[in-house]
Amino acid sequence: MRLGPGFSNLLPYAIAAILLTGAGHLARLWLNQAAAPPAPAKDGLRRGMGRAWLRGLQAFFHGTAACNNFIFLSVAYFAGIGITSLFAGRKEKKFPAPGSTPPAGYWQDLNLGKREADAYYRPF
Amino acid sequence: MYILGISCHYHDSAATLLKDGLVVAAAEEERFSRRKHDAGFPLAAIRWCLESQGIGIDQIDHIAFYEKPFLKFERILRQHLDNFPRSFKTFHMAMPKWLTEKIRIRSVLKKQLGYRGDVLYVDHHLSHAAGAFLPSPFEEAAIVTVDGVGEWTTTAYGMGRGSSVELLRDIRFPHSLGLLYSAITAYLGFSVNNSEYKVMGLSPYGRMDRSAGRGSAGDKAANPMYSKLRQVIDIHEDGSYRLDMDYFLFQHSDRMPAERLCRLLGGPVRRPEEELLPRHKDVAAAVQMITEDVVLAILRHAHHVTGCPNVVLSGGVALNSVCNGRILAETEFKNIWIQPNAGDAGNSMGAALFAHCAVLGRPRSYRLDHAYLGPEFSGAEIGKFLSDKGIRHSRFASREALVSEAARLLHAGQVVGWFQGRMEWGPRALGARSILADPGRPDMQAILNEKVKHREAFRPFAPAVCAEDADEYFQCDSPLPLPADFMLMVYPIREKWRARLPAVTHVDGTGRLQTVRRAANPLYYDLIKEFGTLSGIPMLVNTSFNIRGEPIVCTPGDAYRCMMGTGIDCLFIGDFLVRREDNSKDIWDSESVATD
Ligand SMILES: [Fe+2]
Repeated sequence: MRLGPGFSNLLPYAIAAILLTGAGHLARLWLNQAAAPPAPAKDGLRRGMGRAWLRGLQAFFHGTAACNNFIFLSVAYFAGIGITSLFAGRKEKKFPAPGSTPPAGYWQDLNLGKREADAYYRPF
Repeated sequence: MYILGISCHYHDSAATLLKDGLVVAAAEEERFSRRKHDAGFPLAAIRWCLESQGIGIDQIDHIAFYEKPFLKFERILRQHLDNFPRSFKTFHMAMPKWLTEKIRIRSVLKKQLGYRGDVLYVDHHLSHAAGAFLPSPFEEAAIVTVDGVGEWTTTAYGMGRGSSVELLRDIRFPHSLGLLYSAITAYLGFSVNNSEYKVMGLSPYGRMDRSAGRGSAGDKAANPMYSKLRQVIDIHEDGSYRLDMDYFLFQHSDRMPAERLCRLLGGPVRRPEEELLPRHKDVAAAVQMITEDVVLAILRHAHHVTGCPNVVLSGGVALNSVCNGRILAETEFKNIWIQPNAGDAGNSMGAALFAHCAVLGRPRSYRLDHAYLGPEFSGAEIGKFLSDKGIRHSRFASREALVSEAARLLHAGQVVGWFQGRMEWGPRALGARSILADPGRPDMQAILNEKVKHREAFRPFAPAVCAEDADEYFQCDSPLPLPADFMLMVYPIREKWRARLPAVTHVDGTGRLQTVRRAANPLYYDLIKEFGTLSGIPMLVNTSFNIRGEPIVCTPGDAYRCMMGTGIDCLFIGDFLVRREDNSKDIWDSESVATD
C-alpha cells in the first residue's frame, strides 16, 4: 500500500499523536478523570503486544477526545460564559452585618405544586 | 397502571415502581452496582423493579423524573456566570455530563430502556415533599424539606392535604444548610455526600454544657467553635438563613471550605485518617448545634404558618437523627413522620407518587409502614446458591428453630449476619440485611469496629428494640413516633441501663434506636424477644451488613462474601445457617478494601 505524499515521513504524525495523547491525559488528570492503569496481564509476547497496541489506541482516542473537549469547552467558557458575565449583573453576595438581619427574614415565595398538569411534562 | 420513578445523576440513584398507586418495588442502584452512592443511571434497579412485577418497559405508563433538569442547568450556568473565571475547572468537569446526559433525560431513557412514553418532571423539592407526605399516615401535615440543593431550592416548607402537596416558601442556592454541613464534613476530612453522619456521630465529643439545658445559651457557650461558626451563617428567628459565601468555595470549586473558613476554625482541612483533635470535635459539635438551631426554628415557623399538629420531613438533613429526636419535645408539633429514604434516592418514590396523585389526579392510597421494598430471594434460590458454590450449611426445619438458634448464638457472643426477606429501602439496615450482636457485652463495640466494620472507634452502634419496650430503655417521645422504626430518631438511654448497654450507648448517653413492630418484621421481632428471654434485655446491636466503603449487601453472594471477609461468625440466610468455621478459607480480606 502506498501512502500519499504527506505520509512519506510518519515521524511528525507519531510525535503529534504522542503529544495529543499526553496532553489529553494531563487534562484528564487535572479534572480528576484519569482512569486507573489496568492490572498487568500475564500474556505471551504476541498477545501482550496486541494488548499493548489496543491500550495505546485507547489512550490515543481518550487523549484526543479530552483535548477536543478541553478546547471546545474552553472556547465555550470564555466566549459564552465570559462575555455573558460582562453583561449579566452579578448577584448581590453581601453578607449582612451582625444585627442587621432583615425583619422579613430570607424566605422567598415559591408556591410549587399548584400548577396545571402540563407543567410537569416539561423539563423546565 | 404502572409508574416508574427515577432519581439519578447527582448521588444515590434509585428507582421506585408504583402499581395502581401502591409502591411495589423500590431500590437504590448502589446495591446492584456495588458502588456506594452510585450516581449513574439506575439501570439495574429499574430492571429489578420490572422483573419483580414480571413486566417489560412497554407496560410502564409514565416515568416520573425527580427534578427539572433544565432549571438545574440554568442554576449551574448562573453559578459559572457569577464566578467567571474562577469556575473554569468545574465548568470542564461538569459540562460533558450535562450536555450528553443530564439535560437529555428523554434520550437517555430511550437509549437505556427503549422507553418512548410520557416523562413527567417533578421539581426536586416537590419530589422530596411528595416523598415525605404522600406515603405518610397523615391526612394533613406541614412539610419541611432541607437538603444540599435541588434546582435552586435548598430549604422549603409547605403543606400536604389529601392528595395535594404544596411548597409555599423556600431558601435558594447558595444559601444551604445541607451544604454548610457538607462543607464542615469536608473540613473534618470526611467525604462529602457520604460521611455527614460521621460528623453527627462525632459531635457529642465536642465541648458543651448539657447541664445548662440542651441547646441553651450555656450549652453553646461552652463550645468556642459555636460562636465562630455562627459568623458564617445569619439565622433569622423564622428559621430562614443566609450563608456568608466568603467562607465557602462550593460555588466554583471542587473543594468546599475556603481558606477563610480554615482560619476561622483555627487550622487547615484535616486529612483523612489524621488524628481527630479536640478542635475537630468542637467543630463537629458546633455545626450540629447550628443545624439543630435552624431546623427547630424552621419547624416552629412552619407550625406557626400552617397551624397543623403533624409534620413530615425530607431532604438529606432529615436523616440527622440527633436533630430529629428533639423535634416533638421542642416544637409545637404533636406527630412526625420521615421517609426511611429521606435523601435524594427517596425522590424516585416522591416523584412517582406525585405523578400518580397530583398530576394524574388518582386517589392517594399508599401508606409506607415498613421499609422492606427491595429484592428478596426464595429458599430455593438461596439453597441453589449455597450448593452451587459448595458452601457448607445447615437448614432449619422451622422458623422457631431458626429464631432459637440465632438467639442462642447471639447470647454466646457471636456476631451474626442476618439476611432475611426483602432488602431495606433507605440507608439504614433495619433487620433484613443486618449484622446483629449482643449490646450488653463491653467488648462488642470494639469487636464490631475492628473485625467487622473497620470503622472509626468514635461511632456508636444502633440498638434494635421492640416498639413496646422502647420506653423502658429510652427517654423517647410518647406515643413513640413512627420514624423510630427507620432508625431516624436519637433519644437518651435511661440512666439505669447505660452501663448495661455499653455497645449501643453513645458518649453522651444517647442511642439511635430502631423500634421493631411485629406486623412489619415478625421474624426479627421474635428474635429480639427470644434474645431477651436469654439475656434479660430484649435488645440487639443492629448495624448494616457491609464493611466501610461498600454498599449494604443485596444478594446471597454479597452476604457470603462479606461474612467470609470479616469477623462475622455466622450467617442466617433464609432458612439456612452458614458458619464461618465450616467454610474455613477466607475468600478475601475486607480490611484491605475498607475505605471512607
Ligand atoms: Fe435533595
